[in-house]
Formats: sequence, structure tokens, C-alpha cells
Amino acid sequence: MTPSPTNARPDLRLVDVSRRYGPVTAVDRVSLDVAPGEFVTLLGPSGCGKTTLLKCIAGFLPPSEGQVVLRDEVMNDVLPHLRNIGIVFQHYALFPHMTVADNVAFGLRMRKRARTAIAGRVQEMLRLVRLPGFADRYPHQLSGGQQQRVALARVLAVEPVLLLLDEPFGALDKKLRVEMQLEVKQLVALLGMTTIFVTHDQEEAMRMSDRVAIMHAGRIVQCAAPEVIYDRPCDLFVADFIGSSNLLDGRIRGTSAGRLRVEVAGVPLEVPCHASVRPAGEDVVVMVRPENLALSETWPSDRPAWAGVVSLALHTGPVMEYEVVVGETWRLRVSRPRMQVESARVWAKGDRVAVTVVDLKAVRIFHGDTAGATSVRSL
Amino acid sequence: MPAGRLGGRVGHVTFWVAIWTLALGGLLYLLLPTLIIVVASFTAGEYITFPPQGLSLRWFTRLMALAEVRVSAWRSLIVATAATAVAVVLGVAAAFPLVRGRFAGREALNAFLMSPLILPSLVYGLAALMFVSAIGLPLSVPVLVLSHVAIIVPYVIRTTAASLALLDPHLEEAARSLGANAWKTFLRVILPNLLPGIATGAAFAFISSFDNLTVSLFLAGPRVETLPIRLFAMINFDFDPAAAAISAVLVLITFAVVLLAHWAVGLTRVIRL
Repeated sequence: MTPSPTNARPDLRLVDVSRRYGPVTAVDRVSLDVAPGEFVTLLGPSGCGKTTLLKCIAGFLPPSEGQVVLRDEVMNDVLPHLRNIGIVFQHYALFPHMTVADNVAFGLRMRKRARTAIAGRVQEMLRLVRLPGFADRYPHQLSGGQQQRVALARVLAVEPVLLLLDEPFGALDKKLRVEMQLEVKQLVALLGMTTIFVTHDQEEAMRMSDRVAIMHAGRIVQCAAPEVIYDRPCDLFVADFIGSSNLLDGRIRGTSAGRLRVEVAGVPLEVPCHASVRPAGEDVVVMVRPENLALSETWPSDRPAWAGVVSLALHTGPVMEYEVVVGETWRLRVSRPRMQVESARVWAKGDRVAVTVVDLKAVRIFHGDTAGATSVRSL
Repeated sequence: MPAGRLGGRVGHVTFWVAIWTLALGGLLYLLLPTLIIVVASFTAGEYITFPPQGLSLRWFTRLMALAEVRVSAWRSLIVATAATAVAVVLGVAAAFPLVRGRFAGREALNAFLMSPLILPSLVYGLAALMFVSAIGLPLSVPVLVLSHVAIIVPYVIRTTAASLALLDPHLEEAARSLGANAWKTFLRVILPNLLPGIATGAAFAFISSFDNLTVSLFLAGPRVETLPIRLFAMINFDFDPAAAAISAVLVLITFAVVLLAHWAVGLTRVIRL
């Protein structure tokens, strides 16, 4: 179940939070509600303000403006150790001079729990993260994945209101990273933990989140479920940042019966009108995902097509990635699953092909500032 | 063998011969005088000679019998211990803003706090004496301790700051988010990880206080004589092997402190790594 962001009481509410460093605005009027049990990711390139926002939530930085509200309580002036927010850092920040058990017990000791209760809870947490029998080890005796799990156990032991994950998988190699993503996701879901996850890795964000908040220049530009972000990016930045896309210069030729006619690389496409109607003659940028393009040898009779030459054919395992040169300057990225029956044909460099759009409903049109999105994109 | 390759081999060999010669020569030059005075202190004769005339512990026995030596040695230990304790507290506290702080003039403050290492201690001794008499403090052990603190605290600041700079700042944030207030974060998380640095700095500080002569000469006064002052007086007035014996004791204590610090650092390393 994906919790709705409109629940009565969000666990975390950010109201117009800004953070400035002198003349630099690192976080710019960010508002966000996170429902109980929701997993929200702050995703953006480095320097977009996501880590600064995380520090504001945790209490390590006071916001310049706006409010951080945790379960109906304004937290702006509450010191970090009184917020009951758990954080897992990229390099885990385990206390090197303490055993695993002492690390996990640390938060409980700070809360002055009874000795026997602490011992029981530590055992329980170590079982939860599948590290029973590691109680007496020191952090340096553990692998990266094990340190990661100890860091999780340490944070979850105190039952925080909110869990913050600050690029926690960045230090792991790819295979382990995917395993840990799955493990953390399951653990967090099991405990119903409200979680904010910071990353610059879009695949990781898509795989783990209920909602993804794309940050750019200190602001949240779009916050939605992963499939919505992918299928209906709200602007060119998101379209370019998430997944790979063909961003092509186009020109509006007019509308008819709820359809927008747009000319792209000399070929007219009729796209369902999903946005405001634009005047004919306007320059726009047209986004077509590589998997939404198909290649064929014969000219299709039922739909418009570009004539092109395959200039690059790459194996990636499950998918073939092609680059097709159309006309003089246009390069289209096309990706086709290799096992798909009707397009089982694998193309080679130099093949002459017709390129068609599979699903016109999935084509997006943006206002044309073509400077940032040229039609020539190499693989 | 081609000429070029032979030349390369000769160059390689001469390099290592030069390095070893310099290192061993330098080491010998540094250690030899100390070695000679220590060996000479075991003489059975009436004068400091090298090689010693016979071997005995008679001059050490005589040291024990000299009341003023015992008193001054005890006082030096007390002064050095007290000064080191104060310097550790002040130095560790000062290291924090110097490493973690973000303020204008941080580098200038750093340079200022290091200045006692650079300024001639003779100048500092004179200045401290004038300052103390200007504010009307009588010369006493506490005054001596405080003047030593000023010249030894840079050692503690330096080594603590070096340890702190290597410590992951996220450790502090992790402790804070787990519910530790600023004090508990410091005592339970930061301090244990700084111990190797603090121990090293404290050892340097203790030794520089223990064998300090220049500042003590100004601030000791007639009734608060330290061991280095006693040694200095003995060399001036009756240059007998007891002076060599004091030197041997000073060397011994210095080595003991260094070994102790080494052991303490080693121990914490074992815990950490």
C-alpha cells in the first residue's frame, strides 16, 4: 500500500523551509508532507541542497526561514538529541572504540533504560539485522554491509519517529548495494518506519521509494510516485535527469480534435493534448524515451516514421541499445529488449531502418528552451 | 651489463649508503653526549671522567642523601604533573574551535596559541616575571605551574587538534541524534577517540616542564627550586659526579614518560584498530 500524502497527520511536515549560507540559498522554500510509514526520497545532483535539507530536519542546521514540524510539534528550536530522529550516514559513523553491542546500546543508555531491558533490546535488534553473535566485535572487524546493518540496528533500537538515510549505500559495491537496498526496504516496511532517504542515484531512488522528490537548485521541482516521475516529468530538468531520453527540437503545427500536431526532425507526430494548448509555430522540446521507439526494416503504413542508419549497437545484457542517425544531425537513442518476439531482430551498425514511436501517449512536450536540450545526444 | 644500467645501480647503492650514513651519524651525534654522561654517573671515582673509574652506585646513594636534591626532584615532579594536567584541560578545549570552528581569524588564533613554541623561552620567563610582580603575586609553586602551562600547552593543542581533524564529524552527529547531549557526546564518543593524541601531547608537555630551566630560573625564586635549577647550581659550584647522576635520573624519567605514553597510545590503538 502506498500511503497517501494527504493523511490527517503527517509525521514530518516542512513548511517553506529555506537555508541560506551568506548570499547562497542552499534550500529554497521547500514544503513537503511525509505520511506515517511513507518512504520519501530526496533525489538530485550534488549541490542541489538535499543534504542541507536533511541537516535542517535532523537539527544540525537551523533553517533560515520556515518550519520543521515533527508530529504536530514545531522542531526549529529543539536540539538534535531531543528530536528522536535516527540517521544512518554514508560511512555509518559507528563508534570505533565501542563493540557492536555498545554501539547498538548507545541510544538506549542515553535514554537511561534499565540494564536488562537494554541487553534484551540489543539482542533483538542484532537478530533483526541478522547479526546475532556479532555483539562483541568491533566495527573495524566487520565488512561494509555488516557495518551498515549495525548502524541500522543502532538507530532502530531507539524507535525514532523518523529515519533519515544519508546516501547509506554509496560506500558499497554494486552487487552488495542492491542487496542492502532490498534488505533496508523490507526492514523499514516491516517496522512501518517513516523514512527520508537522500541519494543522487536515481535507480536507487526509483527502486526504494513511495515518492521521489526531485531537487534542483535548492527547490523540490517535482514530488511524486516513481512511475509518475518517469512517465510524466514536469519539466525538462526532470525529463533529462530521470532515466535516459531523446530530447528533440520540435515545432507546433496546430491542433485538431484534442491532438497536437508537432513536427520533429521533419516528421509530423500527432500527440494527445495533455498540457495547455500551444500556438502553432511555437518551438518546443519533445521527449521520447528510448524504449518508446521501435526499429523496422520495412516502412510502416499506419504511422509516421523516420528513415535512419544504425550508427551504434551496444549489448547491455537484457536490452540492446542503438543510436540511429536521422538526416544530417539527429541522433535517436533506441533501446529494445532482446527477447521480445516481434522485434527479435538484432540490428548492426550500418543497417538502414525505419524508426517509429511505439506509444504516442507517452511522448511529452515541453516549452522550448532548446539551449539545455539539444537534439544531438551521444550514447 | 650496459653502462647506463651499471650507472643506475651505482647511483642506487650510493643513495642508500648516503642515507644510512647520515641517519646513523646524526643519531650517534644526538645520543652520544647523553650516553657519556649516563655512563659517567656510575663512576667510583671523585670526578666526572670518561671512561668512568670503576663502577659503583655511590653518587646515586649520595643524591639520596642530599636533602635539597630530593626536595627539588619531588617539586619538579609535582610542578610537571600539575602543569601537564592544566595544559591537557586547556589544550583539549582549545583544539575544538581550532579544528571544528568556522570563524574569521581562526588561523591567526592558531598561530598565537603556537607562539610559545617559537618565542625564546628566556624572553617568556622575563616577561612572566615582570607580569607576576606587576600584579603583586608572590613567587610560588602555583605561579611556577601556570608559567609552565603557557609554554607546554601548544604540545597538547597540536597533537589533540591532529587527532580531532582525523575524527569523522559524523560521529558527533550520530551521537547527538541518538540522544546524547553535548557533554555526553564529548565524554563518551569524542574524548575516547582523542586519547592517543592527548597522551602524546601530554608526554611532550610533561617532559618540557620537567626539564625546563629558562622559565623556572626567572619564576622559581629562592625557595621553590626545581631539579634542573639544582642541577645547574651543582654544575656551577661543585662539579662532582652527583651532577652526572642527576642527569642520568632526568634521562631515565624522560624515557619512562615516553614509554608510558607510547604504551598508552599503543593500548588505545589496540582497542580501536
